[in-house]
Amino acid sequence: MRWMSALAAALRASLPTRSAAPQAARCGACRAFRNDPLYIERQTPGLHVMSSGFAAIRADDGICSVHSRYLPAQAVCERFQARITVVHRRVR
Amino acid sequence: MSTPAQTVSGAQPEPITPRIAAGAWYRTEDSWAIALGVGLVTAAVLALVNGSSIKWLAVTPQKWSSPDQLGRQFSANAGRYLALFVLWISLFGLSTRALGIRTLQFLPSFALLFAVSAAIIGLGAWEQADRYNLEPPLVALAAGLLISNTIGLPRWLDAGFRVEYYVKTGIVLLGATLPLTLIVSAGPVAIVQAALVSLTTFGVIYGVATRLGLDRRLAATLGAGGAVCGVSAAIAVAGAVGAKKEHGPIAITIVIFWAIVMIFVLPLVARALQLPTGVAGAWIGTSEFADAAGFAAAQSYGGYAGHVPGISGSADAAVNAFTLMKVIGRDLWIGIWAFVLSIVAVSRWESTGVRSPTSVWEIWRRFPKFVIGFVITSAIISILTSAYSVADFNKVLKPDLVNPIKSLRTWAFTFCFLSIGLTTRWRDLASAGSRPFLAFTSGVIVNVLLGFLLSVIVFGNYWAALGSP
Repeated sequence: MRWMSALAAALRASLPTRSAAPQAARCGACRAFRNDPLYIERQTPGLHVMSSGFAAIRADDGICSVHSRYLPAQAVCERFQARITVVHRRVR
Repeated sequence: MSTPAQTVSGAQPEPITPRIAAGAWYRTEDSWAIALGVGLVTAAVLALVNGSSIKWLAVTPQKWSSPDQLGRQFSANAGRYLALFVLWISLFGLSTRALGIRTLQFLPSFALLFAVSAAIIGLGAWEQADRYNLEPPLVALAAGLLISNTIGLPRWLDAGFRVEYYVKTGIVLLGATLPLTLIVSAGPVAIVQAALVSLTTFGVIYGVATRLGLDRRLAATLGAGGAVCGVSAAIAVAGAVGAKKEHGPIAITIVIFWAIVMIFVLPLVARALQLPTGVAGAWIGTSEFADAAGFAAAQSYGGYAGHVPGISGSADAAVNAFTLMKVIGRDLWIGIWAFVLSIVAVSRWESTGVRSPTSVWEIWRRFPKFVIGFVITSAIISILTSAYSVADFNKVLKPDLVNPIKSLRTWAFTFCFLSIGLTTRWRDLASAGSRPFLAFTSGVIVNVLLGFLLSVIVFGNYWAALGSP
């Protein structure tokens, strides 16, 4: 019965609510995460033979190089590292 | 989808690769397949309403008995073929550019694809083609496999071999030839049959895989690949459960292997048993693993109708039954599979250090949205045809509207079948390992037998009637 209560708790948690994790701290914003379709096709041999990196069912999943896992962009973990955009300044 | 970024002025430069918004609507082939398919059907309807037709453009080779005849056909219709080529390359070229595929690579690749497809469709129109089993889908697949695994083609040519895009465009066009009433009436039977087979197949693969000691996330990825919609289901569930990076490619290798085997085996066995086209289509829809592969098998079998003694039903019945079973019965539910498995992964399986979302939005996020286009084109033509009598339908709508759309569909599917062969390079696929292969193969055996039982014996009369005139 324990697994049923765990499943019920997970189902309750699945109802759309405001997430505790801020958008900026999710995998989609992490520097270790990549989900562009052509990259996913290169990293996943055979994907483009009978499916595609551009398929809607793939949603925005991507590859995390820290965990070596294929994850949704909304996932969260404790090893989040914000992506850095470099601003090049003119040197005088 | 925009991604938030932290700006650090003067930070040390680091290699940052461009990140493409994977989830935006214009970044999915589904959206473009809907746009192209619905756009072409709408154009065909508007032409008809204005007293014209797109049949001049939707050209395919007619029956021929000598190479000279075929040559004369091509030269007499050169302008039409050129116009069709310009239409396809413009539509696919612009849309793949929006997807982020290099146009300079796509254009020559597609030109090659079109030329070889024309030759294959032409070969299929040979009067003796049935005698030598030269069904265009099988020829396209075999030719592609032979080329890619022997002489090989430059990798950059893959830019134009977009299997999934072509099959989705073909399915949206197919909707125009499948009445909405048939989808509504046959849908529940397809869903019940597919649900029985999908749940059993998943259970067998998952059960055998975990007993063989495989990771549960790999077991679920393999199970979804065998039970739902092949490679697409495997990659969707791999993401939903947070599988290891190598799990997806393992499942994909095995799915591709069995899908290609089944393209040849299922029509062959069905032919030996002389199954009616509707029944064979339902069986293929239940037991084939990928949409593109299944359409190749179903279209091949449909080609036997009226040509191979003992096989009853119409050519369309095989494709229609397959579509109902595969698209409506199985593909549609991938979001629910992913949602349920994501909950199980979070609540029951060992932690991975990553917390994946378990929202009900998962169902919509992973919904195969091209199906919306399939329903829209079906609705457009169903509404239009409801105003016509059967006699007027056969006299006006069939030659001026339905048949040209079917011709465009034939082209889209041929691009797809040829692309499967041209992109399947066995040496490039991930090594699957014996245990995953054994687990998946157990599911294949159960799936094929149960699919046969339900399609031929339990619902046999129903699927056979689908092909009756």
